Formats: sequence, C-alpha cells, structure tokens
Amino acid sequence: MLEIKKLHATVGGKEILKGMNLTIPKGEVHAIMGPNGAGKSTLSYLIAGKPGYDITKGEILWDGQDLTAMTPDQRAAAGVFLAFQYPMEVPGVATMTFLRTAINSQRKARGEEPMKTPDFIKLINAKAEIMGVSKDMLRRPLNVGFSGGEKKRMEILQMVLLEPGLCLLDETDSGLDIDALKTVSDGVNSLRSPERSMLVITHYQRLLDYIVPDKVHVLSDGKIIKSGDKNLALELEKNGYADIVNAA
Amino acid sequence: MSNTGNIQKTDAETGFSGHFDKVGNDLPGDSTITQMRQDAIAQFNEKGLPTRQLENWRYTDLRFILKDAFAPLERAGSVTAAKLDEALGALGDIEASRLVFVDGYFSAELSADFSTMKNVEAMPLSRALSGETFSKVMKQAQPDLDDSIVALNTAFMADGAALHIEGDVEKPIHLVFVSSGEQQGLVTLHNHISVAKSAKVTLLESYIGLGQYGVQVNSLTNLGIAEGAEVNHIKYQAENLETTHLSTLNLKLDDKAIYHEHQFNIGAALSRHQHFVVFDGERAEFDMSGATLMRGTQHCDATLLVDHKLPEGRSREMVKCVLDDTARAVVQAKVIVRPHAQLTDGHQMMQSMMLSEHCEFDAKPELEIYADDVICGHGATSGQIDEDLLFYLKSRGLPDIEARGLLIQAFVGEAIEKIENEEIRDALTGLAQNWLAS
Ligand SMILES: Nc1ncnc2c1ncn2[C@@H]1O[C@H](COP(=O)(O)OP(=O)(O)OP(=O)(O)O)[C@@H](O)[C@H]1O
Ligand SMILES: [Mg+2]
Repeated sequence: MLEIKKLHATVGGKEILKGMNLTIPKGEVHAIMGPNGAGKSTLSYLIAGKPGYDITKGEILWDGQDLTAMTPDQRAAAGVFLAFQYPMEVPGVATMTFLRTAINSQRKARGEEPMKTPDFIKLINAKAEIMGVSKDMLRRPLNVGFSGGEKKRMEILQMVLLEPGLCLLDETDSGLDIDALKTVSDGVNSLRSPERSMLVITHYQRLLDYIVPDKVHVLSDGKIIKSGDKNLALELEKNGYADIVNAA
Repeated sequence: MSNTGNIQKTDAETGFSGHFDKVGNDLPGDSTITQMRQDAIAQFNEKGLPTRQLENWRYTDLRFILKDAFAPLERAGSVTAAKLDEALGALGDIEASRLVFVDGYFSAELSADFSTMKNVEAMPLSRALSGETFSKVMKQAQPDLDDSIVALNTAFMADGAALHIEGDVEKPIHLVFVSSGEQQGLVTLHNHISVAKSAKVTLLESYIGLGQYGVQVNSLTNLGIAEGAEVNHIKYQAENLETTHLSTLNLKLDDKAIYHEHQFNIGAALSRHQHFVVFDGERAEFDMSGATLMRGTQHCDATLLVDHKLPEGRSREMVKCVLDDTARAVVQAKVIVRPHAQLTDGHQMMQSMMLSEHCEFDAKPELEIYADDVICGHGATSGQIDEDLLFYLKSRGLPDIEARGLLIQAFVGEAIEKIENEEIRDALTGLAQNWLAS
C-alpha cells in the first residue's frame, strides 16, 4: 500500500505540493488528472527520489517503509518504478547492457543470483515482442533516436521486465498512436494483480478506457481537490477543470 | 631549441648520464648501434630533460616530476604464466599470439612460438640488434626527432619486438610488457615493426605492472606501414601507480596505408604518449582514439604531431578523458598540412568528464595549414556526469557507483566502439564500466 500523508514539497525553493494526501491499497489502480503545472510529475519524482525535490513536511510510505529515507536505487529494489513522462536518451549505453544491469542490480539487492545470459535473452525477446519493441531498438543505445512512442514502449518494457510492486505512469499515453496505446495498456494490465499498486497520471480519459482505474483524483495547485470513480474522468473530459477548481 | 644551457642539471639528468657511463658498453648491438647510442646520450647530455618552455612539453613538467633516474634493471624478475594472466585480466583471455617481455627482457617461456606462424617474422630486438643488416635498417628507421625522450630511448634500448608483417595475420599479436615490481629500475623498450604492402594485422600492446615497486618505462615504437597495408593497434596501459611511462610512436604511412589506434590508459603515476606521424604517401589514413581514466594524483599526457605531406590524407584524433580527485590529463595535437597536401581531411576532438572539482584538463588542438583545399576542424569540451541521466539509471535499481560506471563507459565508449576485434572491444568496455568501482 502507498500512503502519502500531508505532503508538502518544494522545487527550486518554490512550494509545489501543499499538503497532499493519497492512499493506494494493493490491487488498486488510481488515476491522477489535473491541469498543467499542478504538480503531477513532481509527485512521481518525489516517490521515485529525484534529487532537487525537497520534502518539507509529511510522509511517503510504501508497505509501511519510509521511502524518503531511501536512495532511488533502494526504492527501485523495494518495488518502485516510474515510467517517465520524458524518458531520457542515454548515448553510449547499449539497451541490452542497461536492461541486464537493471535486472541484476535489483536481484542482487534482494539477495538473488544474477540472471543467466540465456534466460535473460529469452525473457527479453519474449517481452519485447509483446511490447512491440523491435530487435533493432534493442540493439541501439538506450532510447537514442527513438520516436516519442517508441520511448514510451521501452518504458513499459522495462516495467514489465522488472515487475515492480508500485507502478507510477506519468503520461505514458502521450505520443502513442492508437495501436501503441492498446499495446502499452495491455502491458500495464498484464501487471495488474492483488499484490500491486498503480498510479496512472494522464490528461486523457481515453487511456482509462483501457486501464480502468478504481479511483480517479484531481490534483490542482499541489492538492487533491476531488476524488471519485472512473466516471469522474468522463465528467472532466466533458466539463474541464474550471468548475471543480473554482469550487475547491 | 637548445634551452638548457644555463639551467642547472637535475638529479635525474645527471643520473641518466651516469647510468650510461656504467652500462652503455654492455647494451646489445654492433658498432653501428653503439655509435647511435653514443650520439644519443651526447644529445641528451646537451639538452637535458624537456623543459616547459618547449611547446610540446608545456603541461608536463618532466624536469620537476622525474626526481631520479633509475638504473637499468639487470635481470628479469619472476612472473609466472598464471600471474601474468591474472594481471592481464579480461585481456588475458583474448585469443592472440603473445610476445612477452618481463622487466624489459624477452621471455621465451611466456611467449608464443612465432617460427611457424604465417606472414609474421618475429624476433626479440636484443637478438636482432646483433645482426648487421638489421642494425642498418634500424639506423635508417631511427627518427630524426629533436626529442630527449627519444634520445634516452636510443641510448638505453635493450629489448622489444622486432616484427615484420608480410601478409594478413589472422590472430592479433599481443605485445605484453610486464614489470615484476620486485625492484625499481629503468626499462627501455624499442619495437621495430614493418608492415609490407597490402598486409593486415591487429596489434595489441599491453603495459602492466605487478608488485610494489615502480619502474621508469621508456618505450619507442617505429612503425612503417607500406602501401595499402592496414594496422589496427590497441594500446592498454595499466601499470602500477609508482610507474612512469614515457612512450613514443614514430609512424610512417605510405600510399593508402591505414592505421587505426585505440588507447586505453588507466595506469602509472605519470604517462606520456607522444606520436610523430608522417603521411609519406597519398590517401593514407591515421585514426587515433583514446580513453584515459585517471584519479588520485595521476597525470596523463597525449601529445601528437601529425604531418600531412602528401594529398588526400585523412587524420582523426579523438581523446576522451575521465578525471577524478586531482588527476590531470593533457591532450595536445598539432596537425600540419603542407602545401602539397591538398584535399587533406583532418579532425580533432578532445573531451573530458570531470568527476571532481580539483582535476585538470588541458586540451590544445592546433592546426597549421599551408594548403588551400582542405577540410580541417577541431573541438574541445569539458563536462560533468549528467545528473538527470544518473537519476534515470538509478530509478531502475542501479546503485550510484554502477550508474556512474555505466555513464563513464558511455562517455569513453566512442573511443572504443570502433575496435574491430570484438573480444578486445568487450574487454575494454567492461574495464571502463568497472573503473570507478575498482
Ligand atoms: N526545477 C524546477 N524549478 C522551479 N519550478 C519547477 C521546477 N520543476 C518544476 N517546477 C514547477 O513545478 C510545477 C509543477 O510541475 P510538474 O511538472 O509537476 O507539473 P505537472 O502537473 O506534471 O504538469 P504537466 O501536466 O504539464 O506535465 C510547475 O509550475 C513547474 O513549472
Ligand atoms: Mg507532468
């Protein structure tokens, strides 16, 4: 279970989150929507542990553990995974080397043996095919020269390979064509399980037709100002944020 | 360029002269060689060690750094095959024909049998020097370089590889120079390598140091590449931190000769890699890339002089330096394009990744162009590890040191990735990735 309690956080000296509360029990998928600049990406970075994002008050707990006391790699080993809104290009790092290092780092942190090469290759090939990641993409340096949609597929491929307990998806749907949206959603849905919590950040209701959320929250100006079921997304799609923001 | 007239001699300078007086007569070679040695030490005595007033020694103060002249090592220490393999690490597994020198002495025991090998004639220089024909060849190949390090090399040269490549050589030839580290001393190596028309060879050259004592290595390679021949040269320098490594490559390229070099430097307290490259033929190619990873108080200097004498030559120098603590890297490349050398294509790139605020990177690309129709360019950059990339990698579970290691490998990767031999390429890539953690 993810528990965010009265979280206040600043970036570059500016307060972005202003007393945010959110609980995602295991087995549930929650969606966060909200206007540009509301603090959605900031929230995901705070959970993943990006430097430069300072918590001034409040807590982030995952399975009862205080995430804020951990380094980003420790959080990853504890099961946190963030699919970035803008995945980074990493020139010079072979995609396969990176995937293998990531898998084995997490196994090591959990006290497991590194994965054997043939097993690794088999796993990658199987999952890459499902995610529509081509052999050619796997041969290139990580994300280098990938199209926007290809980068998003690569993010979800990583997520599927690492099988995290807490999946954070930051606008994974932006930049995806219609077919890719389906592929990526299938990938995400394949990970839905009673053992996992998921947080899906999006601007568009359409994604939530594929990844049907248990709850939808509206984040505005650093706070959750409204929560509801999946119908809230439909309502937002129709009426926009103005009424809700003004009422808050 | 004589500039030492009024300067007091350093201990090292008097030391080298003194050592030569003692051992000069016992060094191998016939009368031609003996005369070369005597001329060389006379030249050194007059000039001394290079001062910082010399343009190409501006950033490496050898007179200050070299406190002492070590005496030539009198015999080889003991290095077993197992020890050697261990010290070579990943490079020990490379499928190659080895020529091994321990403390500057040829080791038949650790070397491959070259007598049956196709397209290669190989001999330890110590043996070649006593042959009359060879000494004439040597004398001719000897560079006319006004350089004190070269002079010292000529005066003291004791052993090295004498190679003649006649055609395609299938397996890489691995020249291994290992110090036992049992005692400190001077090791003077001289490689004489000629590559015949249309031949092709991969040379791997490794310098490694065992034990605790440092040595002063002075290594010179005379390499002549004939028409249409191709040499892929990988140099790996991982000597111990007490060692001083001074090396010179004297390279002559004939028509359409191709020379590709990849350096990987992680060792020695001080290392200097100087290159004198002459385009003696048309349409030849010189492509050197280097990965230099230094920390502590290490100092590494790569200084190149590339002389395009004839048309349509292509030259590339790319050096990538990763520096930590108070380490320092110097990269200087001077490319001369003579009036005849039309359609020369030359490019230099020098880049550093600074891991601490106290390291230093001195990059000096230089072009001297006398022809009008050429494409030449250069660039130098200096930067740090990208924090956003670092976070991206860590968010996937890579611990800090591994994430940094991967980004360091990515940075120097460009200097390694074009190595044709996959085993060597993979070995060096792994070394770069693990350098920080090792
Ligand atoms: N390094 C920074 N320094 C100062 N302000 C920042 C910094 N990073 C983010 N911000 C600000 O924080 C606010 C929240 O940004 P965030 O990226 O979390 O918004 P978001 O809800 O994800 O928006 P979008 O829907 O456009 O992705 C914005 O006003 C942004 O300008
Ligand atoms: Mg955002």
